[in-house]
Amino acid sequence: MTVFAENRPLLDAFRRGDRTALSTVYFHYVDDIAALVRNGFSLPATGARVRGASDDQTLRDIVQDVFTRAFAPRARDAYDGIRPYRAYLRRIARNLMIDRARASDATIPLDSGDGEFVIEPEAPEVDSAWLAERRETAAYVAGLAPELQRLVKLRFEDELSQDEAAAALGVSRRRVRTLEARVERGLRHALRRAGLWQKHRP
Amino acid sequence: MTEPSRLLAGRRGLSRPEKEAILARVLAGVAPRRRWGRRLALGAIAAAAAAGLLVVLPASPRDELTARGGGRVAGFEVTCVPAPCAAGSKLVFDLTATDGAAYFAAFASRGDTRIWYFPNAPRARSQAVPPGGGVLDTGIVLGPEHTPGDYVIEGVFSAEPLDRPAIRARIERGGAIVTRRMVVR
Repeated sequence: MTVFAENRPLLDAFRRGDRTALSTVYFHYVDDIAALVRNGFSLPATGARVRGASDDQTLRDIVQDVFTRAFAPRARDAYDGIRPYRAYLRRIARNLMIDRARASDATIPLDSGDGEFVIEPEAPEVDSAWLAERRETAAYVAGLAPELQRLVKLRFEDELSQDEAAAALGVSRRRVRTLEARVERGLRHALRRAGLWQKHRP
Repeated sequence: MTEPSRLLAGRRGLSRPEKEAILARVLAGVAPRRRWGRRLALGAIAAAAAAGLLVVLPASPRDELTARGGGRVAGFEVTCVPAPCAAGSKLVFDLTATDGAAYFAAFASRGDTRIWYFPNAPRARSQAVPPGGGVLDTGIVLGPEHTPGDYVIEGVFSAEPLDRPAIRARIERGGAIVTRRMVVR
């Protein structure tokens, strides 16, 4: 069932390019698309495998490209609100990733463009670097003032918007933005002190 | 090295701030805000830049500092001309509100690296701003010091002109700063 199911006003607003509607659709599907882009997929028909994004910037770039294409005026107009939208987004992501893979490694069969594909499972999070960074992050958060700890919970763990977090904390959105930047900056300092953050990080 | 916002979330997938940043760029491309006055002003800035009439300052050399601070301050937005932000783009500042401040300082941070925009020189002072804000007529050329990646642009509004030591001192005291994100391709 798509996000538009039994929600004609959302579909109409989406087609008009209403920013709130576009945001609703984006947040409904972004995790699924990001997982696909991060993990990669295989093409059973050919046996080919397309690896996931190699770094954070590539991941963000591909996710942005997927939604930019899907939300373009012509694409919005062409969508009927009935066809599975998740599959549509996944197909855009898959094609973008195949194009990128071909650009760097021409081993993806040319006839793989329209076939079925299988998303690779999430890799187990057991690498020592992540665990060390998480330990240091937990220690850093434990030392924060209560207001900042609550901000971390609301904004990062619970993924509330800045407006929602501001309402929950009883402060302005601007205050949330400022505190958020302070928390991230403080974490970078903590990680650097622990030898886990490199200067001039690429 | 993991993105700090993901560490704070405790998950390796995109964090909420990352998702919001991506969405902002998507919307900027497919459903830009209808802020005609500002768009016209930015268009005029772009035209002026193209005609060589815009005062363009090179970004000053890197300065590695420790910055801390927070509080309520006025706001600003940044736009790259042309978009997306990349070496050679001109960074245009649109002060959306000043809270009565008459001067504005700004710099970009990425990790330990700080790149000063206003003031542009070590002995210079912060930029005078139009009453109530608006688009600054001074753009910043993104030079090679802006390696691709995520930057946080921090702005400091003040009633009086500030030099860099005064800005640092204000931040160290927990003075008000406003932050925006910029992704350089």
